[in-house]
Amino acid sequence: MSQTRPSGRQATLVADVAARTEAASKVYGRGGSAVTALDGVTVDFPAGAFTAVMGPSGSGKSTLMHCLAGLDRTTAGKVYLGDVDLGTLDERRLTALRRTRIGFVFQSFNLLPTLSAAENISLPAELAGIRLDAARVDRVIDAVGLRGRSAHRPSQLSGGQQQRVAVARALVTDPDLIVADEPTGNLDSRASGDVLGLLRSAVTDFGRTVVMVTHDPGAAGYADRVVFLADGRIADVMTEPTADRVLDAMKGLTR
Amino acid sequence: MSAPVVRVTLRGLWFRRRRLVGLFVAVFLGVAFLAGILGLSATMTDAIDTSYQTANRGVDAIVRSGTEVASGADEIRGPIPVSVLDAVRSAPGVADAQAEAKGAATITGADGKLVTGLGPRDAGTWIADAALNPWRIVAGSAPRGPADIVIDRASATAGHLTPGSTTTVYAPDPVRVTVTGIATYGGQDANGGSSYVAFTLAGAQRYLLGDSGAVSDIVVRADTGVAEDSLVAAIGAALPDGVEAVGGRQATRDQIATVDDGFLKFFKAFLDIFAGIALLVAALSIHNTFSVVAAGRARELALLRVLGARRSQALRGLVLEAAVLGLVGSVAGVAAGYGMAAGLKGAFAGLGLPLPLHGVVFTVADALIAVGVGVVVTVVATLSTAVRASRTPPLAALTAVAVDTSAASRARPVAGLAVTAAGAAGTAFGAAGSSDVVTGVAAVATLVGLIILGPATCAWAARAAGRFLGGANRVNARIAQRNVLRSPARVASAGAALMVGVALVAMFAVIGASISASTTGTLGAMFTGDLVVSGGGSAYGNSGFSPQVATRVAAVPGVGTAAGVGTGQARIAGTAQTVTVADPVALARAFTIAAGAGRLAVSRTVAEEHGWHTGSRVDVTFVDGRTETLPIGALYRPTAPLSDYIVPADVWSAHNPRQLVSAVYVVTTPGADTGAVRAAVTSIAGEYGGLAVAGRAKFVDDTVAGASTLLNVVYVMLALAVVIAILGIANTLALAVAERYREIGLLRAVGAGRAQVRRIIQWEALLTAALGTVSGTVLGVFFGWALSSTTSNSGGGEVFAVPWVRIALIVLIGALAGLVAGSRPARRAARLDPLVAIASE
Ligand SMILES: Nc1ncnc2c1ncn2[C@@H]1O[C@H](COP(=O)(O)OP(=O)(O)OP(=O)(O)O)[C@@H](O)[C@H]1O
Ligand SMILES: [Mg+2]
Repeated sequence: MSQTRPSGRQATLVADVAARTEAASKVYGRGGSAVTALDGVTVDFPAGAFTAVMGPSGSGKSTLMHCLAGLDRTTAGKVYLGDVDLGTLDERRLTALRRTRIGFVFQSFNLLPTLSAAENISLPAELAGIRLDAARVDRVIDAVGLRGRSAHRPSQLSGGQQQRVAVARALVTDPDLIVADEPTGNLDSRASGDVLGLLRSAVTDFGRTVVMVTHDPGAAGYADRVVFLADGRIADVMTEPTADRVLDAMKGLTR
Repeated sequence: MSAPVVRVTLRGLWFRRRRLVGLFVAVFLGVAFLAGILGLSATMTDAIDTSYQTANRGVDAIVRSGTEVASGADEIRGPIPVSVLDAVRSAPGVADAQAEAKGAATITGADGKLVTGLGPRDAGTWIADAALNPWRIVAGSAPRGPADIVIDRASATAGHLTPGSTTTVYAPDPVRVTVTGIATYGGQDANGGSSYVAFTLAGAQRYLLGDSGAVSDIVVRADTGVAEDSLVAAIGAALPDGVEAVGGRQATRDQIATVDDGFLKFFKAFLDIFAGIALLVAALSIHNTFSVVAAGRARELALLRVLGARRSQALRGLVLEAAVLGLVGSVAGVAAGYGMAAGLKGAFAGLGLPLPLHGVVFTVADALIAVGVGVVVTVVATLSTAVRASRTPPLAALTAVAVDTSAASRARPVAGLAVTAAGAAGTAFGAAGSSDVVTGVAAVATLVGLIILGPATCAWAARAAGRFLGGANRVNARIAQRNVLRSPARVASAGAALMVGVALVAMFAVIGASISASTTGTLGAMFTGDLVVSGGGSAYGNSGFSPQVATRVAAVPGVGTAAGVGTGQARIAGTAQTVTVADPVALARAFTIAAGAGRLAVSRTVAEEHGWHTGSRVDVTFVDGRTETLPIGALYRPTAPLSDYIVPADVWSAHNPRQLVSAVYVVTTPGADTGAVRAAVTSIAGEYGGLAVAGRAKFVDDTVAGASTLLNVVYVMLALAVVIAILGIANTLALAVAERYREIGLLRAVGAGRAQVRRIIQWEALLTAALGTVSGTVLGVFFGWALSSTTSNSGGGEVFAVPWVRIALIVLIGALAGLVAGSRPARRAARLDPLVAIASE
């Protein structure tokens, strides 16, 4: 797992912040059955950096991603995308923001089964009423290594290929933030490597900002930083992670 | 059936009850309609039976003319000589015999307006012997003088008449009378929707028969212990030729049987056709809903199989599920059928086809039939799906739920195309060869072919629509179009239900327009008069009005001809027919029909059927039993309001001294002051109870409108089928939305707004509805063309007319209905929280 890390990452470390949370809390339910998924999380996600989010199951990683991506709202505290406070946006603006400024990759079921790969990729842009030029879609498809498969339906693609299409879709609108929740959770190590490499190069080569949840210390090794969550709180932040250091840190968290 | 299957099935039903609501509603509506129709039929049968049984309750025998010229409910027989009464009275076994004279009379109320109602304006003779008279006086007393009358309580109430009131009755000539008594019929205020006027025998003879030497019939009460047939035999021996005696019970049975296989049979068949259509559409909806529900349960079924359920157990579970649903829906439907019967009765009355019924009769047998039909239709409609679903391989439990792709068969589009093409060719062939059987069978085949072809048509239409829809809606439309394409069979069968309904509506619209156009054209060309005096509506029932009106109108200055035309019954070439009675010379001035004195005029349709032409000689048997052979003097294009035979009045009146007229056609002299003529004619019409006077254009319009009354009833009957079809679409969509929670959530996550999600579902609804509506409309216009040319080739002279505005309206309503059907599922989809969708499963 000692892949050479692309050298561009140091330069982007102290640049401005793409997204951040301020004492963000999320409580599900009420009264006795209330679950605190996020408990006063304050964290910055620097622009042009690849941040991995790790932590035990149930620690609030997905919740944090949903809040960052404008899919869900916090119950207390604030979430900023650039300098926009997501809490102040209504449903309509949040939706518009999602399709233009945020890219999202889920663990599975990222694609509409009825649309081809190319159509899935241009979906957010089309929903926004923007006609993407074909050359651009082709470039992205090339970048994710799916030339020749653009007319295929998701059911005709492997799991890894489907995830690459999802990454391509997240990239194509040049979003300010790409949020990925266990994008390699269902993939074998080779396919994982392809997807992680793509996310890495989105940061290195195109200057995008990526926040990715993962359980795999190896995957975290692709990131510039790792944020550790435990019980809805920030437990640790590690820069220049390696698989071994991440593994150690994880052991500390799970006890 | 094994206990676990039953238990799992029933639990599952309860668990999925929300998804099954649509299925329940389809069964419910179909059965409610069927039950309503059965109830309506039973109510009519009961009303008619009761009416006749009451009429003849104490009558042991009836003596009447032996000549029958009418088939159907109206017993039209000629009068018999009053001298027969003495012979009857002296026959052995006769306790009492009473003569009666019958006819029609319209009552004027205290306010001077005619008392109108839902049935004939009957008039007869008051009989003192209570056993022979179904009427009972509840206020006042029996008539004593010829100008005294007893009337039914319903008319008395409506006309504010009490014993002692004086008023006018048109019998049909106006008579000033005193109401001496008010009577009820078998405890009811009236005999169905008919009114009743009873004179003394002398009065009835004078006003209703115009002949004091004649009576209509004689009713007989037997001595106690005398059997009906020996009484009939004893009386029969004493009767002259041309007069017959029948038993009272026998007469009742005959009358009921005549109505049962005459009007009632037609009416019930008419109703049953629409119940069948509603059930067919319901079956298509049920089939579709069930297949969607079953597709959503593939995994659960597979799990059952993994756990060891046999295929047959799975199948039994599914069939049981359908049967239980069918039973629950049917029982609820039967319960609602009572209200449906009442509603139908109201709808009929609202459309000018009133049924004189009190309450609604609902038999246990009908309820059981409706429930049985409901369960069977449900099980049959779901059977193919149940078989397919029971074949789910256990492995499906482990793999992701696949999209329903039940349209994969390659043979299906080929077979569908073949059947459709053969059906369409057959329909056209039948239309050209004027064979209604060939046309009908081939039309049904075309429909079946289109249903088989459905998925292929649907896929093709969705692709075409995809190419067609551009602009800002592009993504929404495309996603919707892809959703249609993923299971074209499902969309096609949702659309097929609508197609059937719309095709029928469009077909009747075309036929209606064609009939209207031909009536307008034919009547417009044939009628050369200027004014028409007619009964105008139900006030006179079948009875017509006094011929004096024609005589008096003819005397108005400026009137060239006033042709009084009546309607009667005669046997022509051996069969009972309704005929038009007119003076050929006068008629030739008002219509382009010149038969000449003493000659018949016959419609081309009838002439063609019998191979007659001008100069052919035809036997006509009149109500008095005599037969004459008349030459045909003219052929004409059939048109309302004329019947297929016109009998010359001079010949007719020798056999029917009291012929009434139903219309007077007026031709003014050139240069006459039409305003003054009209005013004078209107004033005469007013003296006969306010007859309607219409100008030429209005007369044509009214006649055309009269021909369309039935059409409006047809539309109402079809409306339910269309509603069921629309609900089916709504239901299919709702289930599809439930199936696609994750996809919708994904769409929202990648930036689709609520409005966009809503529009995607709406597009899908619109595509489905448009498919059903457009194919239904095309099919309906084609059927309409085929049927109207079938009749036109057989001499009907129909014009083929397409009511474009109405057709456009049908398409528009279909599209709107699609949007309405889509609105609830679309709103549900739009409300979905993207996170819930991502988290689900
Ligand atoms: N909709 C919800 N309602 C109630 N509780 C919820 C809901 N969603 C999440 N939770 C709870 O919030 C906590 C955090 O959940 P979250 O999904 O963010 O965890 P996670 O870190 O992503 O876990 P995993 O690694 O298993 O995906 C958990 O305790 C979970 O049970
Ligand atoms: Mg998670």
